[in-house]
Amino acid sequence: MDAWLVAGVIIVSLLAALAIWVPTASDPESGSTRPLVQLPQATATAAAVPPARARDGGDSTDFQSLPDPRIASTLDDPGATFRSISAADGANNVVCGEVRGSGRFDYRRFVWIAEAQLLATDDGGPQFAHVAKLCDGSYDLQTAEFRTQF
Amino acid sequence: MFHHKKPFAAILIGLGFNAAAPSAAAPNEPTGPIERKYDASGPADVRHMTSPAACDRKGNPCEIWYPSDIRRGPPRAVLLWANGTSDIPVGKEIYEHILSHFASWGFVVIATRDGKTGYGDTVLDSLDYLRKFAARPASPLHRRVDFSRIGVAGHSQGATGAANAMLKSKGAIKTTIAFQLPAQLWCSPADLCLLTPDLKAAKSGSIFYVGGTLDALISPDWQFGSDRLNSLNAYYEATPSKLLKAKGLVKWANHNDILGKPDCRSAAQNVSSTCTSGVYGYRGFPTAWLAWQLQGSKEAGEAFQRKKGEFFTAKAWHSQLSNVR
Repeated sequence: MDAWLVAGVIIVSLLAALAIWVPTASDPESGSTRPLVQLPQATATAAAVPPARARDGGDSTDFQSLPDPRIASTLDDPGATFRSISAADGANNVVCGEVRGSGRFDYRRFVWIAEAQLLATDDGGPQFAHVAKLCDGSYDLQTAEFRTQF
Repeated sequence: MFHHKKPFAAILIGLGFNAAAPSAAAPNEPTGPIERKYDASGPADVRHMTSPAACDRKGNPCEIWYPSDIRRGPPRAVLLWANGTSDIPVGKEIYEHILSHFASWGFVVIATRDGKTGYGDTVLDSLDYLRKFAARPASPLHRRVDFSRIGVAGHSQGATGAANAMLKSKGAIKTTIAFQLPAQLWCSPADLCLLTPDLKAAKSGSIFYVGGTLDALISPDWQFGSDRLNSLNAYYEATPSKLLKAKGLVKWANHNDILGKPDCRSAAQNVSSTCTSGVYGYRGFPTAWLAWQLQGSKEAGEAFQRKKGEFFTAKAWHSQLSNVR
């Protein structure tokens, strides 16, 4: 009798967990499936590729093609080129991509936050890796929470 | 350098709290007598004016707030202000609430509209302008400003600018309040920063580092291993011990809560992702710090005494440190 009761509780729990999990996993706003902003074709293609460090070549984006001209203004480097640009939050408040500064040969990942107008570039350290979690949507700027990914 | 302390938000998440929860409750009410005193508006009404001429090397005008009773009593201390990053001039409405609050407590507050204040140069320009302006007989501030008591405060990039202004002032600026000082990771360009050698070489002044528990990416309290100053703890530790220093985080505050007027919905610009409750919590102890450092209030200073001062038991604050004895 007890065994049947325990089995029943487990089955009900599994069904409830499945009911919660399915809509979350299919939510287009969640996790890595969240849409990117509409970008020019060349840029959008690059944005679909996970940004890599120290990767040369490929299409670059001029200042006019940036989703927000303030990104270039923040960097204060007229010779900088950008590529692999994406708006991580779908609203251009968090913009990620790669930047090559004047006099540099390599592109480095960057994260830009519109409401602070601040830009961080990848220094290879763990702190940037933490900040870069904004780019794949696994970190919520507003609540300082990590989003659970399924 | 490796700080094991968990971020405040992460601890709460572990306990099952929602980080957005406090918006329904009264945000960051003051809990002790000093915080309560300085959280309230000061005794004076506040007047505002825009400088009749450019006040910095970039041609920006300055916003000036001062107490309406400035003609009475001794000359008033100065508070210079450094704005956070903006690609357009920063109007008076952006930081109006907190700067008016400081002025109500007797400070003459001057803020250039510059949106790139990180080097501190335009902040020092605003001080030069104030000296000239107060020297004119027709000025409402004529002979009413005490230039031996100067402090500086700033927000975000402006926190960098505030600290740099003090370090470059050759002792003229006595204290700094750095609100939401960004980790060095966010220094773009690289020299637009509070640089480690400059901070470690500081010989005079005092610094109060103020963060927010939800500002965990731009101005975090802790950091992963790095030689750079990427956290408020790291900045605090790098500040020479000969300087008076304190650090604390306003609970539930994000990078732009200080823009609240007083709440986030009333802020003069859209900061919906980086403002949680508003300016509550930012008024009390920062004003007390200024009252202590620039107006000589002994009771305000006692609030920052290491471990036993009121600052360390305030419910609206977290991760407090100080070397005040």
